[in-house]
Formats: sequence, structure tokens, C-alpha cells
Amino acid sequence: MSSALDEIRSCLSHHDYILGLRRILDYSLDTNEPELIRASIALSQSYRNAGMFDGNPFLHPDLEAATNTHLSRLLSKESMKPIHSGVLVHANNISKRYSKGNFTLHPLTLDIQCGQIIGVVGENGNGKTTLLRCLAGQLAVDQGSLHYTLLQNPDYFAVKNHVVFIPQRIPRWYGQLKDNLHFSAAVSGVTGMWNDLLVDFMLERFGLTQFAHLNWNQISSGYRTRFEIARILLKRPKVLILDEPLANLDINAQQTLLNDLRFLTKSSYNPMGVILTSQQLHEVEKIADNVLLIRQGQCVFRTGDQIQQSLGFAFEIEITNDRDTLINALSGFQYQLNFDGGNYTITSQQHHVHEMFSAIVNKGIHIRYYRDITTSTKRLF
Amino acid sequence: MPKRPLAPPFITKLDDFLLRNRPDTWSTRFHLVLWYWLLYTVALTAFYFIIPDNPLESSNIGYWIAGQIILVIVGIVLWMIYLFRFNVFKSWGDLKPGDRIKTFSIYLVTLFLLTGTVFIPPLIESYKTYVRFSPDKMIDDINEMNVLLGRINKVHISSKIEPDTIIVVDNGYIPPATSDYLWDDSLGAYVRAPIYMNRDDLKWTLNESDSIVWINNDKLLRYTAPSLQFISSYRITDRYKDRLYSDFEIYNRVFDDSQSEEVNQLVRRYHSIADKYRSEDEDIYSYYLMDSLTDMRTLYNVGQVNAGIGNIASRFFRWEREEIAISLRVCYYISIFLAMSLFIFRHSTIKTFFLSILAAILITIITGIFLAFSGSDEEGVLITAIVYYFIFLTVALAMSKYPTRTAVSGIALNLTVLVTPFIPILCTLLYHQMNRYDYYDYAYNPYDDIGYAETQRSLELLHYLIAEIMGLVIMLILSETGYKWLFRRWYSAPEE
Repeated sequence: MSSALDEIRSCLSHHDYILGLRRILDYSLDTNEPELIRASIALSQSYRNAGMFDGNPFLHPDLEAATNTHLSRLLSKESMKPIHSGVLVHANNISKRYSKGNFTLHPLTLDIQCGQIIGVVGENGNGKTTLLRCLAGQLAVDQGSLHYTLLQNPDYFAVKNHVVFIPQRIPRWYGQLKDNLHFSAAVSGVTGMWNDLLVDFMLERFGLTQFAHLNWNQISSGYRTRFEIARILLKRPKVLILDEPLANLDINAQQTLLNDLRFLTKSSYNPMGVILTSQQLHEVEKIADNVLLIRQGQCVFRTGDQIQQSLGFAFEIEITNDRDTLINALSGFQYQLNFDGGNYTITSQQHHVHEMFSAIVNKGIHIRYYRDITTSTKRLF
Repeated sequence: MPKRPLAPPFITKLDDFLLRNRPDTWSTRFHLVLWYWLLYTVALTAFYFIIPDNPLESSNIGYWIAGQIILVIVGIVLWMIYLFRFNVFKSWGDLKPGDRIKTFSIYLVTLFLLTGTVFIPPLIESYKTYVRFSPDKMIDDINEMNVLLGRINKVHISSKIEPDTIIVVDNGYIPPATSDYLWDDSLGAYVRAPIYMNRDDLKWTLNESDSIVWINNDKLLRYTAPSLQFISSYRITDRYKDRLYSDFEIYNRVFDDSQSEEVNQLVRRYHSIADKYRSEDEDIYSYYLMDSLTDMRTLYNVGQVNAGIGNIASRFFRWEREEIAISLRVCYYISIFLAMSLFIFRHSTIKTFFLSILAAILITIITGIFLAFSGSDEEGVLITAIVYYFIFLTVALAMSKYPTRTAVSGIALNLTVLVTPFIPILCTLLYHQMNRYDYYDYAYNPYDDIGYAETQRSLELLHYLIAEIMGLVIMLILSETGYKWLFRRWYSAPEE
């Protein structure tokens, strides 16, 4: 807990108030103490009201004192122990062929661990959503088996309560946002005081407090995604399956969501396993513990397969100079150069990325963009 | 929480509590429907108290009821808009034992209350009529008016009642009548021709006659007073037969010589009573009243008084036991059918629900054509409906083992559930339909025996009532047991 609080203090001291307060909320939830959770919500609201989330860098002394007091209280509490760990879903050689159309998802074995995020990437129409829907019990697998380790002889109703699937197009909901959250919590058995508390928590945690009394038509698609995740988390699912969750989000919101997922999966309150698909390869790779590349229904790559050993080193670069200048800078290296019209991709079996990159820098080439993709699935596209 | 118009704080608090603690009940919006229904009922009652109504004129309640039906439909649609927003089952929610029974009961009660508001306009109309008139006073007035009219027209009424001669036959042969009057040699005058009658049919005649004189075992004289019930309405005579003066009683009072009043006085007395009941309408049957006294219609406004009394009676007597039973049944069947549809909709996919409706319509049309061509009777229709239920049930059970969710199994399940509360009543109807012929076999014509027929009818009605209650109870039990399992399995199964 103390290292977590150090992280929070660091965030606050560097004026990262939004991130800091989110961590405070997360850690208070992990204590499972209603008073602490309530105080964290109140603190976050005070920050919001003081304009700290809108770029105001000057923390009012009263607010700073209140924060320190609250952090001291948090420090005195132990996080609850995670209620489960280990493998949540074991998919053993599952395959699926649609009765209409000729698409086939070829046999695939996969474990979704508690606290783990799995990213599934691939081009459109290659089977990512089919895989997710099989895992969520929305499609019956033709071969292989799915084992939900925390459930004993479950029917599909129990599975769908256990494994929650958020589709790319979020189903429309009716009524007020807050009512939907209360309802979602209540149908999952969270009633009474905890219902109110957790709904307020989720509203604050996902920055939805100001939108609590709005309806579907009054919020943007990005907020709808946030709302949907908040709604689902209130149901305390054990496995969260997200199909293209970043599709409706701006760049900042994408980053926030991915960070949130990383923390929430490891929460003591409700540790989860997460599997998601996305076209945002680099963002997913940053937070995913495991990445699967699906091509034509087959898993052609997963991280840990030592891609670098088989394909060598690689990086992407965008420069303002012409190609000859770049080739000139890399003379003496053995490499392959590809140009997609925007970026150059440079691959080499013999030379490390940093060697080649240093040579380019030393030649005074103006670099606008650079990314090491040695272990990224990007190079497989 | 949103501020709901006209909702007091306790409703808002209740709404908050249910949302956070009883999501299944909250999603039905029962508390809101009940509150707004109460407000609406009060407003509607006040409105119908305010609008003018003359009980002497024919009622235009039909128009008000039609308007009310439209408002009820609007109310039900509005309720469903809110009801369909949240669904615990489709949210893979945590439904507790008894929740389905509770929810189904809420649907049924809500729909029953909503449809029941249709009866508020006629109820208020009846109440307002009761306030202005009373049945007891009206009966007394009718009796008095008839006696007064008889006395006023005493000169036109024969003081001697001519008897009919009835000859009783046992062999069933009744000679055809040739003339109303025959020459009697012993009297040297024309007398009424005798009436031949089977001994079996005599009972009714004896009951309806004012006086009987048996000449011998096969011949009798029947005395029947002339029709003197000038003021009457079938709605009243049916119910107050014992209290209304019969023709004979009026006849006796008309010719009671102890009463001696001037005709002018009698006419004044008559009008003082009749004016209370005089309508702008005219009773069409009064045109045919008293062949020899048709001028009474114009002189004493008998047709208008009868119309007024008929209009009052129609407002009084629409709440008799049988009428209430029919009204309640209409409400119940509409409510349970809608509640069943709602229950199915809440447990099914939208596509499968509408496919089920389509399938039901197609099956009905095809079966109707088949039954029409095969010349099937009521029994055939009932047997077909029951057989269909078991076919649907078999298909639903058989396909529940399928690993995926199919439209066919969903349709079968939906139709099985839809028909369930009606199965006991269908079986009971079939039983009585099959045994109705046995009643006839039991005696030559047992319905001539009024007591026997009434007993049978009462028994039959009791069976129907038990079957209706049984249907509802069976549905409630199955909603928590077999159907719960089938819907849970079907709805959550993978789509493909």
C-alpha cells in the first residue's frame, strides 16, 4: 500500500491530479471500507470543483491538507485480499465454422488469467470478434472446449453473468445514465448502501459525475463507452471481453481507458481477466500482457514467440530528408528498407535498432517519428 | 431522480428504494402505474360526476366507454414504453425465487386495473341515477300508474274475464285450430274455441294463469286477466316480477268499488307521477300496447314514460351479478392475454416474439380453413387447441437440449407458455361440450325441469371458474419452475 501511495503522491506533486485521484479511488475501493470510498469520492469531487482537473496547477492548501489526511487514512488500511486468482477461462483447441459463409476460426488454445490483459489484433474480417463471441458464450464452438474455472457445471446463463462482452456498437440504453448504473448494480446483487456508494464511485472514477442525469442522446459516443464499462464493472464480472473498445475514443480517452483497464484488472476488489480487440496496435501492446495476431482465422503470432529471433530487429521512422540521405546514413549496415508512403521500415538480422538509429541521428537527419517494432505485431501486417 | 409530475415525495422515495434494492419490481414501474392510475381514476370519477346526464334519456355511455378504451390503450402503451427499458432477466440478472410469480402478478394486476377503468363511466352514471331515483320507489310508482291508467280507462275494460277452455291430450295429437269461436248448442251462442294441449306442456300454462277451474281430468277452464301492465319495462319485469302488480292484481284494483275518484282527479294523480319518468324518447313497444286503448299513448304519454323507465332501468341494472361476472371475465381475459404476451416478450428475443405472433396467426388461419372444410364442430376446435398445446410443449422440451438457440424452439416455447393458462378452461369446455348430449340422454328434455337445468348450469359455471383459477395457478407455478428453466436455457444459449 505504501508504494501505491508513493505513486499517488508523485502524481499529485507533478500536477497529474486526474491520474492521482483515480489511483486514490482505486486504492480506496481495494480497502472495501465504505467510509474511505466515500471520502475518496468526496475528495475527487473537491478537486473537480476546484478546477484541478481542468489544468489549474495551484492546489489550495486546504485541499492539500485534506488530501494528506486522506492518504494517511488510506495508508493505515490494508487492501483486501483478492478473492480469486489464476486461470479464469481455459479455451482448449476451440474452433468455429459459420453455417452461412465460409469463414472458419481454426483451433486455438488460450488461457485468460486473472489480472491479465490479452490483446487480439488482426485485420478486419479475420476472426477476432468470432473468437471473442465464442469465449463469451455467444457462439457455440464446433470443436474443443471452454472451461470457466470459477464455475461448476455452469449453464450459459451463468457463463454470461460471469463473462461480460461489450460489443463494438454499444447497445442503446434508455432513461438516465445514473438509473442504468443503479439498475446494473442491483441486478447483480449490489443493493442498499453499497449500490449508492459504488454507483457514485463509478461515476467519479470514469469522470461521468456531471453526466449522471443525462440520457443516451445527450452524451457523446466516447462517454457511452465509458458508461458501458462503468455499468459492466458494477456487475463485477470475472472476465471482461471488449470488442474494439477504442474505436469511439479520442487519443487521450484511449490512453485513459487502457490505463484504467490495467489497474482495474489487478484490483483487489474485483480482479478480472480482460481480452480485447483493437486496431490500435501500439496502444494495446503497451498494456497487454499477451498479444495474439489472428489472420484468416488462425492465430499466427502471440507475444513470447520470440518474434525478434526469427525476424530480426526492426523500427519505423519518419524523416523530413529524402530516401538517399537515409540510405547514405545507413551505409555499412546490412538491412532491408521498406517505404509505405509515410514511414520507412528498416529491418536487420545482424544489427540492433539502437546502432542503426544512432547512425541516423549522427548524420543529422531530422526525425519526426520513431518506433522500435522489433517485438511488435505491427511488422506482421 | 427525475422529478415526476404529480408524484409526491413518498413515490420518489419508493422509486429510489426499489431501484436500489428490488430491480425486478422497479423495472415493472408498478408503483408509478398504481399512483398515476389512482390520480387518473379520481380525475375521471370527478369528471363523470360533473358532466350532465339525464337518466330519463337513452344513455350515451357507449361513446364514453369507447373513449375510455382508447385512453386505456394509450396508458398501456405508455407503461410498456417504460417497462421495456429495463429487464433483469435479459441483463443476466440475479432473479430470486418467487420473482417471476411476483412480476407476472404485477403485470396481471396492472393490466386488470387499467382495463377496469373502462367501467368507471357506467359506474358513475349508475350511481348518479341511484341518487335521483330508487328502484323501490319506481316499482311503487309503476304499480300505481298502472292501476290509475286502468281506472281512468275502466269503461274500455271488460269487467268479466272470459275463460279459455283447455282440453288436455295424452296421445300427443293436437287437432288443428279452425276458428277462434265455435257455436255451442247448449248455450245457443258462440263461445271461444277450446285449446288442445299436451299434458306435459300443461305445467307452464298452469303457472301463468290467473285462475284454473278443472271440469274433469281432461278439461279445464283457464282465466287470464287482460293485459293491464301499460307501464312496464322488460328490464324491470325480469327482476321485480314478485313486486310488480300482475294483470290480475291490477284488474282487481281497477274494479275495486271501494275506490271512487273522479277521472279528472285520477288523471291529475297519474300525471303527477308520470311526469317524473317522462322521457323525450318514446318506447317503440308502446305503439303496440292495448289494441283497444292505443289512444293512451298520446293521451297519457305511456310510450315516453316507458322509455324513461327503461332508460333508468338500464342504468340501474347493468351491475347485476351476471353482468358483473361477464365484465370481470372480459377484463380478466384481456388482462391475462396481455400479461402472458408481456411475460413472453420479457423472456424472448424481439425477433422470436414477433415470429411467434406470426406463427400463431398462420396456424390459426390454416387450422380454421382445415376445420371449416372438415365440418368440425366445437369439440373439434377445442380438441385441436389442446393438441396444439401438447405439440408445442413437446417441441419446446425436445429442442431444449439443442446446443444453440433456434427460432423454432423459441416459437414453440412462446406458444406453449401463451396457451398454458387457457388449457384448463379449454379442457373444461370440452368436457361439458361432450357431456351436454348426455344431459339430453338423461331425460327426454331435462331443460324443461327448470331446477335440473339451473343446477347443471350452476355446476358448469363453477367448473369454469375453477378452471380459470387453475389456469392462473398452473401458469404461476410453471413460471417459477419448468418455464423458468426452459426460458433460461433457451435465451442464454449461443445464437449459432
